[in-house]
Amino acid sequence: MRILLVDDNDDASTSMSDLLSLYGHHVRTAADGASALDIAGQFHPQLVLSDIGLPGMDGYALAPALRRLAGDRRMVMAAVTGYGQSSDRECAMRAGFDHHLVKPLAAEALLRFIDEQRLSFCSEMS
Amino acid sequence: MTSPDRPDVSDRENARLRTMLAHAEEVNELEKLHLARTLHNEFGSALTALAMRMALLAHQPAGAPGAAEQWAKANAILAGLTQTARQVQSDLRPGALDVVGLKMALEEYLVEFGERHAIGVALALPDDELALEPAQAVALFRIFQELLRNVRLHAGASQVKVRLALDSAARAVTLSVADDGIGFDAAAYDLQRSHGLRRIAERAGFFGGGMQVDSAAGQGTRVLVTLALAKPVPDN
Repeated sequence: MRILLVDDNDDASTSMSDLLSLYGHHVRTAADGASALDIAGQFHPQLVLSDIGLPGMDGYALAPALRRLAGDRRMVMAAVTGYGQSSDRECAMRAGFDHHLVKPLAAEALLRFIDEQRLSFCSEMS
Repeated sequence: MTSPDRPDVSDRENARLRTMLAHAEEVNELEKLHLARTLHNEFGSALTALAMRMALLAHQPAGAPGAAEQWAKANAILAGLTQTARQVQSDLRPGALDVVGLKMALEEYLVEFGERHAIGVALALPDDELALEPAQAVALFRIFQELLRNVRLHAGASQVKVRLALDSAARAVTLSVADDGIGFDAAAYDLQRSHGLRRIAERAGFFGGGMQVDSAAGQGTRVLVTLALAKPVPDN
Protein backbone atom coordinates (compact mmCIF):
# COMPACT_ATOMS: atom_id res chain seq x y z
CA MET A 1 0.00 0.00 0.00
CA ARG A 2 1.02 3.63 -0.44
CA ILE A 3 1.02 5.07 3.05
CA LEU A 4 1.58 8.66 4.15
CA LEU A 5 2.57 9.19 7.79
CA VAL A 6 2.07 12.66 9.27
CA ASP A 7 3.69 13.21 12.65
CA ASP A 8 5.96 15.90 14.05
CA ASN A 9 7.60 13.34 16.31
CA ASP A 10 10.54 12.14 14.23
CA ASP A 11 11.11 8.97 16.28
CA ALA A 12 7.50 7.90 15.88
CA SER A 13 7.30 8.50 12.15
CA THR A 14 10.70 7.05 11.16
CA SER A 15 10.23 3.92 13.27
CA MET A 16 6.73 3.38 11.87
CA SER A 17 8.04 4.03 8.38
CA ASP A 18 10.90 1.52 8.82
CA LEU A 19 8.50 -1.15 10.09
CA LEU A 20 5.90 -0.63 7.36
CA SER A 21 8.61 -0.61 4.68
CA LEU A 22 9.81 -3.94 6.02
CA TYR A 23 6.30 -5.28 5.32
CA GLY A 24 6.52 -4.14 1.72
CA HIS A 25 4.55 -0.90 1.93
CA HIS A 26 5.57 2.29 0.16
CA VAL A 27 5.84 4.89 2.89
CA ARG A 28 6.38 8.65 2.88
CA THR A 29 6.56 10.83 5.97
CA ALA A 30 5.65 14.47 6.65
CA ALA A 31 6.24 16.51 9.80
CA ASP A 32 3.48 19.07 9.23
CA GLY A 33 0.27 19.69 7.32
CA ALA A 34 1.75 21.77 4.50
CA SER A 35 4.38 19.17 3.56
CA ALA A 36 1.77 16.41 3.92
CA LEU A 37 -0.33 18.17 1.25
CA ASP A 38 2.73 18.64 -1.00
CA ILE A 39 3.64 14.96 -0.76
CA ALA A 40 0.04 13.74 -1.13
CA GLY A 41 -0.32 15.73 -4.38
CA GLN A 42 2.32 13.55 -6.04
CA PHE A 43 2.37 10.36 -3.99
CA HIS A 44 -1.43 9.74 -4.03
CA PRO A 45 -1.52 7.79 -0.75
CA GLN A 46 -4.10 5.04 -0.29
CA LEU A 47 -3.81 5.37 3.47
CA VAL A 48 -2.95 8.38 5.61
CA LEU A 49 -2.03 8.01 9.28
CA SER A 50 -1.98 11.44 10.85
CA ASP A 51 -1.32 12.89 14.26
CA ILE A 52 -3.73 15.63 15.38
CA GLY A 53 -1.43 17.94 17.33
CA LEU A 54 0.74 19.21 14.47
CA PRO A 55 2.60 22.51 14.26
CA GLY A 56 0.65 25.07 12.20
CA MET A 57 -2.26 23.34 10.50
CA ASP A 58 -3.54 20.64 12.87
CA GLY A 59 -4.84 17.21 11.91
CA TYR A 60 -8.47 18.36 11.98
CA ALA A 61 -7.71 21.00 9.33
CA LEU A 62 -5.44 18.71 7.34
CA ALA A 63 -8.02 15.92 6.91
CA PRO A 64 -10.55 17.89 4.79
CA ALA A 65 -7.71 19.47 2.78
CA LEU A 66 -6.29 16.03 1.95
CA ARG A 67 -9.75 14.79 1.07
CA ARG A 68 -10.31 17.71 -1.36
CA LEU A 69 -6.93 17.03 -2.93
CA ALA A 70 -7.75 13.34 -3.42
CA GLY A 71 -11.04 14.17 -5.18
CA ASP A 72 -12.77 10.96 -6.25
CA ARG A 73 -9.75 8.79 -5.56
CA ARG A 74 -10.26 6.35 -2.69
CA MET A 75 -8.11 7.17 0.33
CA VAL A 76 -8.49 5.95 3.90
CA MET A 77 -7.53 8.38 6.66
CA ALA A 78 -6.82 7.43 10.25
CA ALA A 79 -6.13 9.85 13.08
CA VAL A 80 -3.40 8.56 15.40
CA THR A 81 -3.62 10.45 18.67
CA GLY A 82 -2.99 10.19 22.37
CA TYR A 83 -6.51 11.32 23.05
CA GLY A 84 -8.67 8.24 23.51
CA GLN A 85 -11.88 9.83 24.72
CA SER A 86 -15.07 9.47 22.75
CA SER A 87 -15.21 13.24 22.18
CA ASP A 88 -11.77 13.09 20.49
CA ARG A 89 -12.96 10.25 18.30
CA GLU A 90 -16.02 12.30 17.36
CA CYS A 91 -13.88 15.33 16.48
CA ALA A 92 -11.69 13.14 14.26
CA MET A 93 -14.71 11.62 12.50
CA ARG A 94 -16.29 15.03 11.98
CA ALA A 95 -13.05 16.29 10.41
CA GLY A 96 -13.30 13.48 7.87
CA PHE A 97 -11.11 10.73 9.31
CA ASP A 98 -12.38 7.19 8.75
CA HIS A 99 -10.63 5.71 11.78
CA HIS A 100 -9.21 6.80 15.10
CA LEU A 101 -6.20 4.99 16.56
CA VAL A 102 -4.88 5.76 20.03
CA LYS A 103 -1.20 6.13 20.98
CA PRO A 104 0.76 4.39 22.33
CA LEU A 105 0.13 2.10 19.41
CA ALA A 106 1.37 -1.51 19.45
CA ALA A 107 3.13 -2.76 16.32
CA GLU A 108 0.76 -5.75 15.94
CA ALA A 109 -2.29 -3.48 16.19
CA LEU A 110 -0.87 -1.17 13.53
CA LEU A 111 0.03 -4.02 11.19
CA ARG A 112 -3.37 -5.66 11.68
CA PHE A 113 -5.12 -2.37 10.97
CA ILE A 114 -3.11 -1.82 7.79
CA ASP A 115 -3.75 -5.38 6.67
CA GLU A 116 -7.50 -4.80 7.06
CA GLN A 117 -7.25 -1.67 4.93
CA ARG A 118 -5.21 -3.53 2.31
CA LEU A 119 -7.83 -6.30 2.15
CA SER A 120 -10.63 -3.77 1.75
CA PHE A 121 -8.74 -2.17 -1.13
CA CYS A 122 -8.14 -5.61 -2.72
CA SER A 123 -11.77 -6.69 -2.39
CA GLU A 124 -12.88 -3.45 -4.00
CA MET A 125 -10.57 -4.00 -6.95
CA SER A 126 -11.57 -7.66 -7.53
CA MET B 1 -30.88 38.40 67.83
CA THR B 2 -27.91 38.86 65.58
CA SER B 3 -26.68 42.30 64.70
CA PRO B 4 -28.07 43.61 61.43
CA ASP B 5 -24.69 43.68 59.65
CA ARG B 6 -23.82 40.09 60.48
CA PRO B 7 -25.53 38.31 57.57
CA ASP B 8 -23.68 40.66 55.22
CA VAL B 9 -20.31 39.74 56.66
CA SER B 10 -21.11 36.06 56.51
CA ASP B 11 -22.34 36.41 52.89
CA ARG B 12 -19.15 38.18 51.94
CA GLU B 13 -17.06 35.52 53.66
CA ASN B 14 -19.01 32.74 51.94
CA ALA B 15 -18.56 34.43 48.57
CA ARG B 16 -14.81 34.76 49.22
CA LEU B 17 -14.56 31.08 50.16
CA ARG B 18 -16.53 30.05 47.09
CA THR B 19 -14.17 32.07 44.86
CA MET B 20 -11.13 30.50 46.52
CA LEU B 21 -12.55 27.01 46.15
CA ALA B 22 -13.40 27.62 42.49
CA HIS B 23 -9.87 28.91 41.93
CA ALA B 24 -8.30 25.88 43.65
CA GLU B 25 -10.39 23.58 41.47
CA GLU B 26 -9.38 25.47 38.34
CA VAL B 27 -5.68 25.21 39.25
CA ASN B 28 -6.11 21.51 39.94
CA GLU B 29 -7.76 20.93 36.56
CA LEU B 30 -5.15 22.97 34.69
CA GLU B 31 -2.37 20.97 36.30
CA LYS B 32 -4.06 17.72 35.30
CA LEU B 33 -4.46 19.06 31.77
CA HIS B 34 -0.75 19.88 31.63
CA LEU B 35 0.10 16.36 32.82
CA ALA B 36 -2.29 14.81 30.28
CA ARG B 37 -0.62 16.79 27.50
CA THR B 38 2.83 15.65 28.57
CA LEU B 39 1.62 12.06 28.64
CA HIS B 40 0.12 12.45 25.19
CA ASN B 41 2.85 14.43 23.51
CA GLU B 42 5.84 12.66 24.90
CA PHE B 43 4.87 9.24 26.23
CA GLY B 44 2.36 8.32 23.51
CA SER B 45 4.75 9.04 20.66
CA ALA B 46 7.88 7.66 22.33
CA LEU B 47 6.17 4.42 23.39
CA THR B 48 4.79 4.01 19.88
CA ALA B 49 8.25 4.55 18.41
CA LEU B 50 9.75 2.06 20.85
CA ALA B 51 7.08 -0.54 20.03
CA MET B 52 7.89 -0.17 16.31
CA ARG B 53 11.65 -0.50 16.90
CA MET B 54 11.15 -3.63 19.02
CA ALA B 55 8.93 -5.12 16.28
CA LEU B 56 11.64 -4.37 13.71
CA LEU B 57 14.27 -6.03 15.90
CA ALA B 58 12.06 -9.08 16.35
CA HIS B 59 12.14 -9.56 12.59
CA GLN B 60 15.86 -9.76 12.16
CA PRO B 61 18.62 -11.94 13.56
CA ALA B 62 20.78 -10.26 16.21
CA GLY B 63 23.79 -10.01 13.89
CA ALA B 64 21.89 -8.78 10.81
CA PRO B 65 23.09 -5.60 9.13
CA GLY B 66 21.32 -2.62 10.67
CA ALA B 67 20.41 -4.48 13.88
CA ALA B 68 22.96 -2.56 15.94
CA GLU B 69 21.53 0.71 14.62
CA GLN B 70 18.00 -0.43 15.53
CA TRP B 71 19.13 -1.28 19.06
CA ALA B 72 20.82 2.11 19.40
CA LYS B 73 17.66 3.91 18.26
CA ALA B 74 15.48 1.86 20.63
CA ASN B 75 17.88 2.64 23.49
CA ALA B 76 17.84 6.35 22.68
CA ILE B 77 14.03 6.37 22.77
CA LEU B 78 14.10 4.49 26.08
CA ALA B 79 16.57 7.03 27.53
CA GLY B 80 14.28 9.87 26.42
CA LEU B 81 11.29 8.16 28.04
CA THR B 82 13.19 7.68 31.29
CA GLN B 83 14.06 11.38 31.36
CA THR B 84 10.45 12.37 30.67
CA ALA B 85 9.23 10.03 33.43
CA ARG B 86 11.64 11.70 35.88
CA GLN B 87 10.46 15.10 34.73
CA VAL B 88 6.82 14.18 35.28
CA GLN B 89 7.61 12.82 38.76
CA SER B 90 9.48 15.97 39.61
CA ASP B 91 6.64 18.14 38.27
CA LEU B 92 4.09 16.23 40.31
CA ARG B 93 5.96 16.51 43.55
CA PRO B 94 9.51 17.82 43.57
CA GLY B 95 11.18 15.24 45.81
CA ALA B 96 14.12 17.57 46.38
CA LEU B 97 11.81 20.07 48.06
CA ASP B 98 10.94 17.63 50.84
CA VAL B 99 14.46 16.29 51.23
CA VAL B 100 16.88 19.18 50.78
CA GLY B 101 14.66 22.26 50.94
CA LEU B 102 13.70 24.98 48.52
CA LYS B 103 17.14 26.36 47.66
CA MET B 104 18.62 23.08 46.49
CA ALA B 105 15.36 22.07 44.81
CA LEU B 106 15.49 25.28 42.75
CA GLU B 107 19.11 24.65 41.85
CA GLU B 108 18.53 21.03 40.86
CA TYR B 109 15.50 21.91 38.71
CA LEU B 110 17.16 24.91 37.04
CA VAL B 111 20.32 23.00 36.09
CA GLU B 112 18.22 20.19 34.60
CA PHE B 113 16.04 22.76 32.79
CA GLY B 114 19.11 24.44 31.28
CA GLU B 115 20.58 21.16 30.06
CA ARG B 116 17.31 19.86 28.71
CA HIS B 117 16.41 22.97 26.72
CA ALA B 118 19.92 24.26 25.93
CA ILE B 119 19.29 27.55 27.77
CA GLY B 120 22.05 29.15 29.84
CA VAL B 121 21.11 29.45 33.51
CA ALA B 122 22.33 31.47 36.49
CA LEU B 123 21.06 31.23 40.05
CA ALA B 124 21.55 33.57 43.02
CA LEU B 125 20.43 32.32 46.43
CA PRO B 126 20.42 33.95 49.86
CA ASP B 127 22.96 32.67 52.39
CA ASP B 128 20.34 32.76 55.12
CA GLU B 129 18.04 29.92 55.81
CA LEU B 130 14.53 30.66 54.67
CA ALA B 131 11.90 30.46 57.35
CA LEU B 132 9.14 29.36 55.01
CA GLU B 133 6.04 27.39 55.79
CA PRO B 134 5.91 24.17 53.71
CA ALA B 135 2.92 25.56 51.79
CA GLN B 136 4.91 28.71 50.93
CA ALA B 137 7.91 26.70 49.75
CA VAL B 138 5.65 24.59 47.52
CA ALA B 139 3.95 27.75 46.18
CA LEU B 140 7.31 29.38 45.36
CA PHE B 141 8.54 26.24 43.66
CA ARG B 142 5.35 25.96 41.59
CA ILE B 143 5.60 29.63 40.60
CA PHE B 144 9.24 29.09 39.61
CA GLN B 145 8.26 26.06 37.48
CA GLU B 146 5.48 28.05 35.80
CA LEU B 147 7.84 30.94 35.03
CA LEU B 148 10.42 28.60 33.51
CA ARG B 149 7.65 27.01 31.48
CA ASN B 150 6.81 30.44 30.09
CA VAL B 151 10.48 31.05 29.28
CA ARG B 152 10.67 27.72 27.45
CA LEU B 153 7.41 28.12 25.52
CA HIS B 154 7.24 31.84 24.75
CA ALA B 155 10.49 33.72 25.37
CA GLY B 156 12.88 32.25 22.81
CA ALA B 157 15.59 33.04 25.35
CA SER B 158 19.22 31.89 25.41
CA GLN B 159 19.75 32.84 29.05
CA VAL B 160 17.62 32.82 32.19
CA LYS B 161 18.65 34.30 35.53
CA VAL B 162 16.89 33.28 38.72
CA ARG B 163 17.30 35.11 41.99
CA LEU B 164 15.82 34.23 45.34
CA ALA B 165 16.25 36.92 47.97
CA LEU B 166 15.23 37.48 51.53
CA ASP B 167 14.04 40.92 52.54
CA SER B 168 14.24 40.72 56.32
CA ALA B 169 13.04 44.28 56.87
CA ALA B 170 9.92 43.80 54.78
CA ARG B 171 9.58 40.25 56.11
CA ALA B 172 9.24 39.00 52.57
CA VAL B 173 10.89 36.62 50.16
CA THR B 174 11.27 37.56 46.50
CA LEU B 175 11.78 35.35 43.49
CA SER B 176 12.94 36.94 40.27
CA VAL B 177 13.08 35.11 36.92
CA ALA B 178 14.62 37.16 34.11
CA ASP B 179 15.25 36.07 30.53
CA ASP B 180 16.90 37.65 27.49
CA GLY B 181 14.13 36.56 25.12
CA ILE B 182 11.76 38.39 22.78
CA GLY B 183 9.80 40.12 25.58
CA PHE B 184 6.37 41.69 25.15
CA ASP B 185 4.62 44.96 25.89
CA ALA B 186 3.87 44.35 29.58
CA ALA B 187 1.98 47.65 29.96
CA ALA B 188 -0.52 46.71 27.26
CA TYR B 189 -0.79 43.08 28.32
CA ASP B 190 -4.07 41.76 29.68
CA LEU B 191 -3.17 39.47 32.56
CA GLN B 192 -6.46 37.58 32.19
CA ARG B 193 -5.19 36.24 28.85
CA SER B 194 -2.42 34.25 30.48
CA HIS B 195 -3.62 31.46 32.76
CA GLY B 196 -0.08 30.98 33.96
CA LEU B 197 0.63 34.58 35.00
CA ARG B 198 -2.83 34.99 36.48
CA ARG B 199 -2.34 31.86 38.55
CA ILE B 200 1.02 33.16 39.76
CA ALA B 201 -0.45 36.52 40.75
CA GLU B 202 -3.32 34.83 42.58
CA ARG B 203 -1.02 32.36 44.29
CA ALA B 204 1.29 35.14 45.45
CA GLY B 205 -1.71 37.20 46.57
CA PHE B 206 -2.94 34.26 48.61
CA PHE B 207 0.37 34.35 50.54
CA GLY B 208 0.15 38.09 51.15
CA GLY B 209 2.43 39.03 48.25
CA GLY B 210 2.20 39.99 44.63
CA MET B 211 3.70 39.80 41.16
CA GLN B 212 5.36 42.41 38.98
CA VAL B 213 6.12 41.90 35.28
CA ASP B 214 8.75 44.02 33.54
CA SER B 215 9.03 43.46 29.83
CA ALA B 216 9.20 45.22 26.49
CA ALA B 217 9.49 43.91 22.94
CA GLY B 218 13.07 42.78 22.32
CA GLN B 219 14.10 43.53 25.91
CA GLY B 220 13.50 40.18 27.61
CA THR B 221 11.15 39.62 30.50
CA ARG B 222 11.59 39.82 34.25
CA VAL B 223 8.93 38.56 36.61
CA LEU B 224 9.28 39.43 40.27
CA VAL B 225 7.16 37.53 42.79
CA THR B 226 6.97 38.44 46.45
CA LEU B 227 5.59 36.30 49.27
CA ALA B 228 5.14 37.56 52.82
CA LEU B 229 7.04 35.52 55.39
CA ALA B 230 4.83 33.83 57.92
CA LYS B 231 7.51 33.33 60.58
CA PRO B 232 9.95 35.94 61.91
CA VAL B 233 13.27 35.94 60.07
CA PRO B 234 16.05 34.48 62.27
CA ASP B 235 18.46 37.14 63.59
CA ASN B 236 21.45 35.51 62.06
